Amino acid sequence: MIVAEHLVKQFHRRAVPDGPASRFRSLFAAREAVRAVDDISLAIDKGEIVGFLGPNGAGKSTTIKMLTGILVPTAGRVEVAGVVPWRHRRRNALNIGVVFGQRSQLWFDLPLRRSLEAIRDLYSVSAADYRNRMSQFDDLLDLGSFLDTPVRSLSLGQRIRGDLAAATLYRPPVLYLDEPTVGLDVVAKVALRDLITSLNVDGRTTVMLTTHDMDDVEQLCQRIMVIDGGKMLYEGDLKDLKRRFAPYRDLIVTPRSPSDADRIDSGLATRVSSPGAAKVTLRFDPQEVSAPEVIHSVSSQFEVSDISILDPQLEDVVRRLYGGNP
Amino acid sequence: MRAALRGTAAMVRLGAQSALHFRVNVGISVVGACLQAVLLIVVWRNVYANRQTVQGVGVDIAVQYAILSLAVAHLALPFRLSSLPERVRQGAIATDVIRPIGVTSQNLAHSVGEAAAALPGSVAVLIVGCALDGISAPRDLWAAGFFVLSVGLGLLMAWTMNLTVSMVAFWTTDTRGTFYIYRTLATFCSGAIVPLWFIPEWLAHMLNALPFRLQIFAPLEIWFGQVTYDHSKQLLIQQASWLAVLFLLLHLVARRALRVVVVNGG
Repeated sequence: MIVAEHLVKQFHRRAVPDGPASRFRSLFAAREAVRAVDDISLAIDKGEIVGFLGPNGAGKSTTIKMLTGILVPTAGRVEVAGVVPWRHRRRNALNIGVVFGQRSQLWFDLPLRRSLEAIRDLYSVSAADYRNRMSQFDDLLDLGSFLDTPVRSLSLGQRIRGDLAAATLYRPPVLYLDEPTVGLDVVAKVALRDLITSLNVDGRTTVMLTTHDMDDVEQLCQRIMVIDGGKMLYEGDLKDLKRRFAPYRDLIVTPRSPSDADRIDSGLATRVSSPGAAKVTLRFDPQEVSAPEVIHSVSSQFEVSDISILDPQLEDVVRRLYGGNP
Repeated sequence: MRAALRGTAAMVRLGAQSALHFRVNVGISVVGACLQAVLLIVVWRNVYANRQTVQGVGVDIAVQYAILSLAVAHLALPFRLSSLPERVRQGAIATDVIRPIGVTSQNLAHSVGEAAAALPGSVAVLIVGCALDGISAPRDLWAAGFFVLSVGLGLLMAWTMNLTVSMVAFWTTDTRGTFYIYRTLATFCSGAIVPLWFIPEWLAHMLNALPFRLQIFAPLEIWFGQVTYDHSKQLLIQQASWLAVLFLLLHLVARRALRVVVVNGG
């Protein structure tokens, strides 16, 4: 559904020199090339939800803008639903929906209803479909409660919900979500995730999601791609990512007697919690030693009131990946 | 085709709704236009206080010209020439680019909508003109019909040029300097400020080669019956031809501009 090969986007900026009259001298300074996206290839099948991750400035949004046809690639090939986005922008527009968390496609001064009516007419949505989908939006996003409020008066959560409704009103087969949950409260995030899941399950909508929220990724994405410095760092499923970049599990032990806390240890695992902590964390590699073995080793030496096993947090895994610290 | 028309109509509606949403602003614009009409009538009548004609133009024609040109210029050269530069600056252009009708069609349709919302100002100017005895009927029904057609073509020319100039925003982001020069040129050369009868011959030759005079001055020449029936038709053909050229120019500039789109921020 989405194919990109050796995608490159290069911008040119005039360097501002230091020292006196720097602004004036910058007029004559050479322009330097900055590669925001550097040789990225990717393929996403119909009906997939893919998380597109990376630190700030990694090139995620630039890649999305090339895939949506907003930006023209400096080099490389892009095809979305059989259309080269930047070359056939109008045909491409009918295939895609886009939500940018940091900018809105709604008309700022008008009530949300006016924007959705305009989208209905721009994408030739029939009156019956419009009614049905608005009813669905009302159920999932509680849109009815702020439909007649001017967009500029909406809260961030309401505005994003309105944007998501606008991007999916005409049921595009491909949906790009660029940081849609940034700044949202838990309720709004859940509503958004529910709608995305529903669109993906019912309509086999292909979703490419850019986010810094690892809960979004864990709950929605079947596969993730991680980029940094404009280059692809990782592509694969979540389990594999954790296996490769965080090959450990944590055993959390609460001793019955607090005085045992600093003494608890197991020759099979490494203690990672700091001294004095009421709960002890023992880290082990499940490839080398099984969880029951570590539990048995601890419980045979000490009386334990609680014990649990934690998988590595995706956030930690991604942090290691961004930091180049596998 | 039907889908494109429906989408274009939606953009016209949005343009009008966005402009009419701020009712106080609409009211102030109407009052401002009326004030301008009254001042123009007073000044022109004062200019003619001790003379019958100036360069062969009588006071009635001069006053009527001032009112009609103000009414047309209110639509052709609005305070905000286009919303495009603002959208480029804020990055909202990103969403315009990915809509199923082109950026130029969206913006032109939006301008038509905004002009529809500015109509009360033009109508108010005409009412003030009539109330102060400043407007008389055109020569005949043909002149009236040609005038309406010519105003329509002139407005389309103006909106197309406004949008073409606005496209500079794709390269410079800030368009204030460009707009200042363009507005000065357009208001003067179209005859929106001073009737082109009063300009020196050498300058008139230059202006004849430009499209501006066809936006406001040409329709008014038809209204006043200062051109023959055949010449009126020629003016309409000239307007249509220029419009085609301007559309082509807009298309070329837009194509180039959309290749250099930079969307600020993430």
